[in-house]
Amino acid sequence: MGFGDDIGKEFAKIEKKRDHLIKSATVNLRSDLIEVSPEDQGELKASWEQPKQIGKYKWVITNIAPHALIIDDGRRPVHINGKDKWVGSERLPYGYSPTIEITEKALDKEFKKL
Amino acid sequence: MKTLIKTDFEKWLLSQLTEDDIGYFFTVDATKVYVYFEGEDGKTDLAHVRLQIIPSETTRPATGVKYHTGKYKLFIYGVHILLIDKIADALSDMLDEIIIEETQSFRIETGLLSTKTRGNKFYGSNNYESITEIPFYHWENI
Repeated sequence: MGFGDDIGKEFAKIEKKRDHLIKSATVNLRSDLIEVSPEDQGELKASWEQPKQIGKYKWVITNIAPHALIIDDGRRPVHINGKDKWVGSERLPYGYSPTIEITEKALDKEFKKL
Repeated sequence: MKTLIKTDFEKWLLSQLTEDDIGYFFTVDATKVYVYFEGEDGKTDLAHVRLQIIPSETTRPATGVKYHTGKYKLFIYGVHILLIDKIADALSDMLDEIIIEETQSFRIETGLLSTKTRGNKFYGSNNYESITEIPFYHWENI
């Protein structure tokens, strides 16, 4: 067995670990997104679809509720009929970004250990 | 730390604006675009921008030194969709890759403006809404 074979095996191992890390982080992130979703009639919580892999290291988690984008854009005042009216959720003042950032930072740490 | 960053940026932004009876504004194609800061009530249906500052903390990979970063989130409101696009372009010209403040002990600089959401319209509102974000970096002991 040559040096090249050893390196190749080592890379394959790292790649496998990396795949596993991303996959489990994506699944956990979906659970976190469901957990932090505000609940009125439960539509937003129930509208998180299963993660889909769209590239080697690319996953997509979709929420199909019609108001998901408004919640994700964060809580802000909008001038409606001459008055400021708050839109978005009090529970997620900055939308889903902080939840996603936590997962990204955790994933970065795990990658450094590889 | 959020207060410090906010004060510095607001101070800098105010220095770029003009003031009239309604508030602080900048001009896009001869249209006044008013700027409201966090916590300030909107006084007008005219074109305006609302600022939100989202701070976070991160670590320099090489040295382990913590530094502050985050996003300036700018909510843009205007009566025409083309107007809010033009406002976004004007903000991009004003804010992209600039040094807001620099001293011997720290520097605050911005990245590039990006549009997160374009063209929301709320029932009862005369304006369209676009949401843009620009990252900022607060380096210490540079």
